[in-house]
Amino acid sequence: MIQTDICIIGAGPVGLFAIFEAGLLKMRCHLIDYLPQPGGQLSEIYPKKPIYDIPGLPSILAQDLVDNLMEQAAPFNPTFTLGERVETIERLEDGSFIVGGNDGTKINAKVICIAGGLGCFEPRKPSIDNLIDFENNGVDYIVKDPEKYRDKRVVIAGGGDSALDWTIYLADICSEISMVHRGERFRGAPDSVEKVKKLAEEGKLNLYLNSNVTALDGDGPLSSVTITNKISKEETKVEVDHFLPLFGLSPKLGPIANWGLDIEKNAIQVNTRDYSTNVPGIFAIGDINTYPGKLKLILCGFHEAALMSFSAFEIINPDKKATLKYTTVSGVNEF
Amino acid sequence: MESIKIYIQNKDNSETEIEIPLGISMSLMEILKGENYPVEAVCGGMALCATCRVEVLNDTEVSLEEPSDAELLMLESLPDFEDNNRLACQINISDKLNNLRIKFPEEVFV
Repeated sequence: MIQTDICIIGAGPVGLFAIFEAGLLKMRCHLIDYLPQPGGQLSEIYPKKPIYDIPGLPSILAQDLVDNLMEQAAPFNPTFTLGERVETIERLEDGSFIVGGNDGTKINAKVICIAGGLGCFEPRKPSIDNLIDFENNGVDYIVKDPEKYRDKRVVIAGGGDSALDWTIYLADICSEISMVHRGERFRGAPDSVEKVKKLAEEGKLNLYLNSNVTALDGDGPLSSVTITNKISKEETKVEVDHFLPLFGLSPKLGPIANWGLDIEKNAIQVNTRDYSTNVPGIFAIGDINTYPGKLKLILCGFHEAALMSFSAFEIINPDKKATLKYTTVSGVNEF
Repeated sequence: MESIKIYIQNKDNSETEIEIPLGISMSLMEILKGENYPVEAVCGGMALCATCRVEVLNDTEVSLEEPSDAELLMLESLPDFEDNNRLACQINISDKLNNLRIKFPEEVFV
């Protein structure tokens, strides 16, 4: 069991800055995030895009901001559980919480700070009737370990960079690989598009354009997919071991909705005094919260992190009073 | 023309009219968000997340600017992309949008 003062759910920019604010008050943080790297949507969706509304930084690339926030938090030795989604929150008799992840991680924290952005980034799923029946039984939405597909027959669906990149990578590993794209042409990275076309010309890839996977079959595990050409309506049944629909990620509120928090329009209602929720000891900061006048801006989340930390301090240290420390006076005292 | 009108088809097929002043240098995404429609706009208008996707119901009557390659790349990477889909963040408010009729994809109401 991981022990910490504050469990921060979500390792986006606001969650990362909360480490710093908590650290100034000598509170330790453990962060848990469903994505495999810190940074939230900045790292996952637009790492190379400039952001112009961070005070004092006229322009900064999203990934550079994340790197800077990690550097700023580093003196306070934060710990991370990445690639794991929080499923449950349980309150103990002593008032602390147990945060439970979907891979079995358990974190004991005196305070929970939800900095979950727009929720969990979950895979976009194509609408195929029995798709759910084959999840983890032939259908995977994310390639975690490419070795799983060695010498297997794989069908990839999708037309974006992720589908292109994995098709190229898995072509050397799989015994047979097919790619299904609903469009006529690809608009991904030109280099990747060329490689996919070359693989198809060399007969190493079965490329189905203007097509969709429309049916899945299998008695238990997946055994075949049906590919339908949108124009000719011709159907092709392909024997497979795995079907990988790679259509990117989209945010969903997910299990947060089940934790007894007051929710309004997919956001957690908070008190603007300290961004506390209706559950004592649980705070919500950044894009995940809502209050009258809320603006979903990173800079607002930073402010919320500072105020949250002071109230969290009072819960964690009931006999002490938090004093505002100026970094200009005392610097950053690491621990 | 000082303003335009666009129409949003609601889930029950009724329509809501929105009047938008011209010359405001905003995208359709920003207007819809301001009107509290279910537009997340995760990426802040960079055609990278498709959470502002709309269906243009009268695309033959209203002549919108052609989508850029970046917008098409995003749209075509979706599992259920249709030809009348657009990203609202990539549509700038102009007189060309007058009488535009749109609806939101089913997924945003889930």
